[in-house]
Amino acid sequence: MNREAGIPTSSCRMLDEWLGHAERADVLPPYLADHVQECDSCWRSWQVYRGGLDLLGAATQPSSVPRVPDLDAMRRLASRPRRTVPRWPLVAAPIAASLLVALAWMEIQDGPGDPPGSDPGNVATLVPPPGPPVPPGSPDPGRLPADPPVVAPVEAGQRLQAPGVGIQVADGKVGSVVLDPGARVQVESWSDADTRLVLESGRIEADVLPRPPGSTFEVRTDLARVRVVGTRFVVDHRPGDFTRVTGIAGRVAVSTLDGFEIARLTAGQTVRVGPGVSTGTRDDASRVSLSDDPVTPLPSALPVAARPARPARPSTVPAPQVPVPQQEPPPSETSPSAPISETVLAQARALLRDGHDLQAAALLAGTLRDASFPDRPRLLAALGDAWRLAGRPSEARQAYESALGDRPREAPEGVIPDLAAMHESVGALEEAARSWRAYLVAWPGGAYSGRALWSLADLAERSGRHDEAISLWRRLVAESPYAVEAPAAFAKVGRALADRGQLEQAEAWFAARDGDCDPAFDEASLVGRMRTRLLRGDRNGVASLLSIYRQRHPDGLRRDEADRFREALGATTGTFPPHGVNVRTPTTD
Amino acid sequence: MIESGRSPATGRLRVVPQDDGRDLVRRCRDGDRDAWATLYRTYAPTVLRFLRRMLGSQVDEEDLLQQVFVEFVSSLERFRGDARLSTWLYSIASHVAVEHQRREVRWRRKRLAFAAFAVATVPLAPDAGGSAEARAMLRTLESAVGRLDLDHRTVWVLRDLEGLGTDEVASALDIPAGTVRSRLFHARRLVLEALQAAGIDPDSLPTRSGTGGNHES
Repeated sequence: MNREAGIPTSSCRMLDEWLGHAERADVLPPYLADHVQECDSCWRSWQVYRGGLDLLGAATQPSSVPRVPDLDAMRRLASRPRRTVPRWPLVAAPIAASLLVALAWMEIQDGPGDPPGSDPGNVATLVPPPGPPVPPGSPDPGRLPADPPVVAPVEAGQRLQAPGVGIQVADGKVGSVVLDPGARVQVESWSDADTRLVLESGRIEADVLPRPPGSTFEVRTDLARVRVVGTRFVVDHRPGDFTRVTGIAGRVAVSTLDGFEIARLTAGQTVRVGPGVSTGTRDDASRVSLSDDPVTPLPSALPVAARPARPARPSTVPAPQVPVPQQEPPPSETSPSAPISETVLAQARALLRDGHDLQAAALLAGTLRDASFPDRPRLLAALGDAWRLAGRPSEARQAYESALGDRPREAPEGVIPDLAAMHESVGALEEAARSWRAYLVAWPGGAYSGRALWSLADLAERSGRHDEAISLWRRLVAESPYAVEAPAAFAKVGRALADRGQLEQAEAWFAARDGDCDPAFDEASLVGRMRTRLLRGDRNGVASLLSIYRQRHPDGLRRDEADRFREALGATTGTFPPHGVNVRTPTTD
Repeated sequence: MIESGRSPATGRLRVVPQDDGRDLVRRCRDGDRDAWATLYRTYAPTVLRFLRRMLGSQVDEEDLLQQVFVEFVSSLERFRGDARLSTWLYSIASHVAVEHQRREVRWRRKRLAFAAFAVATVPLAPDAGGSAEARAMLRTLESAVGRLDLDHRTVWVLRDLEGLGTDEVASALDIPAGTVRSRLFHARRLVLEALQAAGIDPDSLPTRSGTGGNHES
């Protein structure tokens, strides 16, 4: 098949035939072997392809035999109950999450009243001033709020409550604690020797300065105790339901209220503690879940597993939006030679892999606050992914669009297709079409060209613009002949011609691919001509094509279609196929 | 050859050769640790190689390898010998690889040019001699394979790298043979186009000469 200039391909169809029919990639049938000896282009292609297979095959050979695991241990792992997630939540989740966030925001704004017996006079419920304005011209990566206002000094006995926005308590000796909107904290003590906070509800993030030996920084809930030494972490507490602790930097020890250590977390690890955990016995295993292997071995009372189950995401209100102070990758995880953007991306990927979508978004958004940070399009694209996985489609779209900016080629190639897919998923068809057109301009001949043309044709057809749809299918077949959508587009064009009564043109269109090396095209050609011949009343022609089809494609993808034509031959009138074949009465142009 | 059973998904007859995989499985089912060690040492390198070829060298392949064999152990009772043991393992490994890649693709799609096949971490073939052409070819192949969607990539790896036959691939993936051929055609075409576009000089590669024999059809 002829291709446009620029990509050298073999002009000889013999090699194509090998591609389509060769059972083994390293052995040619005799007639092809003779040809390859004589045809320079096929010889080169053959050598290059085989050389590539040899090279890739050798390069991916494992160098040693893995250690044999214990059979009993494998059986124990195999017998653990597995959680399966049906597909429909993946579709409904973004919509449901948006609704839940909206409801949660309303609930947090109202807020529950103070628990009985508290002294409302000791509650620090300040109304924070508005945040600093965003400098003009700086990108807005996902509409994260500005840094929360700082409350200082903090005194023992004080009660902190963040109303509609987050607040931050900080000083130069202890560090800082950021309260999410709606969080309530009781300060039992606050000094560099002894800091104890009681998190009554909500979410806080603590950034603790290195402390003298023997000092204490502790956050307590009614389910767990978190102790740290010079580190950064997040505690999320829902009274009576769970306490979730995530390490961001350094090491965080999490224990039960009576001192039994549950886990010691490093950056990116999360432990979730449910009610009733007391002594760390086996019964507690169902109420304590880790999202990664603990750095130190768990106490022997807990079952040891190769990979503990992931904690289930809260089924009710997701964590509210986190006010993010500027974050930097931990110094221990960067090296002078490693690009910082790669480090941040790797950290974000690790968080996403473990299901911490919001933390990943916070990390990326915090990084992007530095307008001079390199690789902004990649980071913005990653931020879009994080928002999308977190069920925040509008933020995701904004991040993707920021990634594209004025120079879409600087963003990864997959951003526009992602954006287009998001538009399609919410029914914004014109926006989707605009995205796909932008893709075809920015990435001519790109990996998604076939998909772009197919989507545009589909949108045109649904909008009743049939001529435009046919033109796009033709273009797909011509420009992206090896796209997976190409055979279907080929069939669509021929069928459209036949439906318009242009039977000779349809016959010629389909016949051009008769015997094509690509089985999908050959099948489309045969089935398409069955249709045109049936419309002409050429029953013998249909029967002949059916016979050829059965010989060439006994397991063909279109055999159901072919079977319907066979049934049509057996119908009383023999002119129109039965229900399902959908042949319109020919019309004049 | 023994004809045995039909695929529940496709209704096709599955014709499988007899091998001693069934005996190994039976003994593993009975708790025979020696049989288990033999089975694991025999097939784990194959599964590991397949996972690496599907997903690249930067994945946690030991973790995925364990997932495959945990799944295998959990299916010991269901294995009736309708397929070869290797085919059964390929089937499980394909599923694990595809699920893993789908999770990864949710995060990064193809925007990182399939960085899992990082040239710097994949040892080159000994006879490639570390040549620049060989490295260029490897990068080209990595990029081309990364552009294949999961269905096409699985078929291409199983057929052209692992050397399985069409029927065996169809059995492992539970798809029609025609689908295997169609996907293979597309995958081969894309890989070959990528190699041609890169302008790789075949004379600089340490490949076998000839056309691989002229006595088969």
